[in-house]
Amino acid sequence: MSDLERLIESISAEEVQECQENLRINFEEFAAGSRMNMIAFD
Amino acid sequence: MLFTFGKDTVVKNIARIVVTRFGQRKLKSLSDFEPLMKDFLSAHQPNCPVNFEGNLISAGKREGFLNGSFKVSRIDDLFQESIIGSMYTSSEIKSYADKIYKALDKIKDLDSEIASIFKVYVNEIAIQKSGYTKDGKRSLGGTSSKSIGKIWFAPRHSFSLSDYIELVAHELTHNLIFVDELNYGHFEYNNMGEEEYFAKSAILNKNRPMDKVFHSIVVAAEILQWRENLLANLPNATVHPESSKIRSSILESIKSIYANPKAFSLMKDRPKVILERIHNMITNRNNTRSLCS
Repeated sequence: MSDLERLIESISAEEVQECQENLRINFEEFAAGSRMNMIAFD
Repeated sequence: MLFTFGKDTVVKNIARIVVTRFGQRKLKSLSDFEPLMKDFLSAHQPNCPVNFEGNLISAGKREGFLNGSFKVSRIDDLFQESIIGSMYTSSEIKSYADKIYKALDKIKDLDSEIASIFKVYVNEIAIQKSGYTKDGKRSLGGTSSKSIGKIWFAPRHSFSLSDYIELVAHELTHNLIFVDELNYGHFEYNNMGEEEYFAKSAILNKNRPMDKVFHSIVVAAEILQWRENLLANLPNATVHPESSKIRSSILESIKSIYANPKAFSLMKDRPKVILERIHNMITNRNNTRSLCS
């Protein structure tokens, strides 16, 4: 098994749930306009 | 992120998104993530067209994402909305695109894994001139949380190879942070635009909203580490300040966050961990150097 496969297999159900929740919040906040667009002009 | 936490962390951030969105996959190389990340971004950012074509650099064709993604912000603290400027001439575009490709080739020579990570995270680079902000400043490029995977560059004739590499490092880091935020959540945004919640940014040295201050610290820390780990044998770049100045700006910026409880209160756990890591990295280096001198 490659390092990459090991890394993917190491992702736990809790991590997936946390990521799912953050993706949902991010998407909904942008859709609702309550989340600012972070623009980095440097 | 790439150096502060290591390649595994930034690869795992992508892997978590892919597994969350598409389920467990047997992926053998980093390039296997590229189409999956593009599919994810297509769904997550429906108003920002993903570049599924072969050419990484666009100018005059798909630059529309600049106008859509880079213009609307609830807190445009530096009056940056008008900063996307006009097109370069076709010969300028060709010349700048060649230089960006050379920089990417050089990065691949220096560290092929970083080049692969870049391709997973960034699907398009647009070249377009910078306009002027209301205080007369011009930008060298940018990124937006509404267009993860996209980079805007506004190069200048005087840029060297080292400058282009640092610009790539800089804008890649913004994208790494955006994806980290998708994984963990970084901020409470409700009061982000209010000045009493501002702190001092590490690169522009101005009081700015916390998300921008945080990005500036992480970008500055990564630039230092790109220089130390990859770019030591190249001539110094001029697009960022010298390293000693960056180190002191980072510490000053972190101090300003901790000195303002309102600014600090906007951070969730993850950015606190990242700032602590960066603070330790800088202070340990400073201590080691003072012991040796």
